Amino acid sequence: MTVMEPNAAYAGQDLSFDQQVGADEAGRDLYHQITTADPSGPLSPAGLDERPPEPHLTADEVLQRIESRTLEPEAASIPIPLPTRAASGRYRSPALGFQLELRVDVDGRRPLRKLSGDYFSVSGATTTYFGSWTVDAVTITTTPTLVTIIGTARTTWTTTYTVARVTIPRVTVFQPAPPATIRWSTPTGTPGATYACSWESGAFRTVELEQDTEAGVTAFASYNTGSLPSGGPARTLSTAGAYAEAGVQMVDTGAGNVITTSSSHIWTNASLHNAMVAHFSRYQERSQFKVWLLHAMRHELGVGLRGIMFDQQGLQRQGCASFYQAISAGTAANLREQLYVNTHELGHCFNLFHSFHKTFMTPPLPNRPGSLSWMNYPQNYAPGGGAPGGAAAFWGAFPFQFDDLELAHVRHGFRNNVIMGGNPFGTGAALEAEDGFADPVLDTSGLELRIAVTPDRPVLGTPVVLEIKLVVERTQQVHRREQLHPKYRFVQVAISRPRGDVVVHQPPVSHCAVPDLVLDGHGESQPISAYIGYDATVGQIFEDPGTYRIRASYVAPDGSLIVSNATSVRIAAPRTEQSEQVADLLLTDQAGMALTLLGSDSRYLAEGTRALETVASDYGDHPAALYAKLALGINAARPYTEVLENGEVRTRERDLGRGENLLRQVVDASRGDEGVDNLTVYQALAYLSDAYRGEGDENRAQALKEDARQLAESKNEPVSVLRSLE
Amino acid sequence: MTGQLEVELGTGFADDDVAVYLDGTEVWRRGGVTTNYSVGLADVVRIPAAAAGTLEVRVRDKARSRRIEPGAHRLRVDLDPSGAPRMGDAPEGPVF
Repeated sequence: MTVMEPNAAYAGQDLSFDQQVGADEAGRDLYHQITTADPSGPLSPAGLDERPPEPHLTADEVLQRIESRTLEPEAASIPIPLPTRAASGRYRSPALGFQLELRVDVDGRRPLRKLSGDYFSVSGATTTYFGSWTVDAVTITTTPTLVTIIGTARTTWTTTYTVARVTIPRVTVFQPAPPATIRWSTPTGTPGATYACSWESGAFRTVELEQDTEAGVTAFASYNTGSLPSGGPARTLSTAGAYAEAGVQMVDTGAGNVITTSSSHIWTNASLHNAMVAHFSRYQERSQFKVWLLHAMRHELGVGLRGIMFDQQGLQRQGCASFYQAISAGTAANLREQLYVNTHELGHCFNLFHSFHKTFMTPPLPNRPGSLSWMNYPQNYAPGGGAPGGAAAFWGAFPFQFDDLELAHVRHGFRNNVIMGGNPFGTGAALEAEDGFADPVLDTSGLELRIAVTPDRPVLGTPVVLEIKLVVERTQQVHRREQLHPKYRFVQVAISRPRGDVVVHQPPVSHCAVPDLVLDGHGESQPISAYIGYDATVGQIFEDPGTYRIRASYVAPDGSLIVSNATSVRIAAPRTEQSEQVADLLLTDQAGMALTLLGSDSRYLAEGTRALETVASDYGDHPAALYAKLALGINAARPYTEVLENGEVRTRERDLGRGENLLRQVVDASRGDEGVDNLTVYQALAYLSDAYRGEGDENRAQALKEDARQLAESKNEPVSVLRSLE
Repeated sequence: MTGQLEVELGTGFADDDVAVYLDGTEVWRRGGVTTNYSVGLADVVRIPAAAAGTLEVRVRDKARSRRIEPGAHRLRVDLDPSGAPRMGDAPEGPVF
């Protein structure tokens, strides 16, 4: 993927910092800022001075304070220090080369004394997430005119420029928000890149929230936390308000609607997912800061279930639901629980686990059963030290907030660990290598890359084939379909494995070829299939049962980086002795290489070839047998030349009889929906056709091509495939 | 008919085949059982309990059993880090 890195000096867009950069964009209407009352925003009176933090004040309260001071008689003669803008919030650099989203968290509500950021790579018509960094502890120096924040960053990519120095001018609340400048350096002081970032928001993140309601359910609106004894100041909280206090702006999409069901309807996780896909206007199978919350009545898991984050297939954590069956009456206790459940379920969508399930995360953390957090269960509250636990103790002390570690995750976690549709639920930093395959945040390329795996649910040992399809919406030059095979390196494939690592697939055989471009457009597609089971670096990729997540990316001729959908394949464990034997035979290096090469006579792959022959002859009912026959058949249909140690060249001639016999079995077993994928079937027939043509049998060659073409037409294959069979 | 027996399959399940037996007779079996950590549950098995008997849960070639008295019961089975099932009464309180 991208080899440049954003912290090095050459990557900075503006080494001569101009404090006015972006000031226009950063400037906001003051009245608007005050009335929107962002709790983590720049209007916090706590400022950056050394006063002890004050309780949170609303913007109206800030204004009232200012007004009350200015109305005092002595105000006319004694200068009144105007409140300064808080530095905390979100800043953004211009979209040139690398764009930085910078989060500064040093003042305002519950300051965590951290910095964090996400880099986006701008290339051609695409803007793609590059990586994230976090400074866990900072040193803050404040002068009357400047705030300076310094610390060492953890990054998702390798860099020596890890020391961040952020400077932000201090201004009053009546002045436009100033930009923040970040200068990177190595620990020994070598200067790196500098980014000037305009102020964007007082919130560290902004999330679009869409709420739908099942007919008959009154969706939660707000709760006054002073209605019942609690541990925090009394205030009126909505779900969005609870997140605003955490520094996350929840923006209502305005597209919520009522979902009509029967009065006795019972939801399942599958029906919830279907409802999300059908009703969530922002739904896409991609990572995005957008989330769906359904207010529903009841779930099949029982009346005790108050809510669930059901979205745990594909790209996860995009939707959740709360159930009102037992808490629908509008009592204070019920409203409190509704607030709790809704905020809690959305917390799961931010990839937060229960306080008492942290040990089940990847990587695990110690459980925190004494946490006074949205993510605990009140009845599980166990503060320890002999202090009373349980629901009554929890509610009596609960300040309606996340705990500090959760707050740090939500505000400053690496992007894929937090964003909806990012890493799977519970997975933290284990997938950082996949960052280069993140969804573009902006894509006007007119290209789409789609991938799918065949077979649907392979048993361990069955070769995994990836169908890669480039769809060209806007007329432009793209690579010819054959060059979309990963071996040409214009397409890369990343596989997240159940063992927790990510493999960026390195095909054992690479083709260095001049780009062969074709003019395409109008929604035409270029599909290709590729065996991706064996890798030059890690060997067998799919060698454990479990779920694998796969994405691909394509570098278009204009430099645009097109990222595919994410797809999953679940490798089933062998359930029979036969299946286990097939897995043992095919999950070796030699068998993987023999499959990659579509068979070989090489003595160095003799064991692998024997394995294929054994699977083809002795395990004919196993799905892997067709792939073994495919490789053996194609190898038989072509001559094999070997250079001996004495320099002599020995050629094994084509065995078209054996080749056709084996390939016919593959083709005939795959004409319907079973067997190997369609593209592989056409490839087998075309290969055999070429072999007959090579032997001068033009009639047979034509007949095989015609068979392939008719089959492709019957399956409505795109023009690019039909043309390849002419 | 003396009540319903419910067995919560809780934490630790990951694509497991789970079978539940009552007095040696298989009454429930499912593959691909996986814990949803947003609720700490993989599934809830509901069995009409006719009378007293022995309930056994088998997973990953290990088993755990418990004598059940007549009446309504809600039990919970979690897998410990070694994959062994632990069985006890299901905790009270809402789940979310």
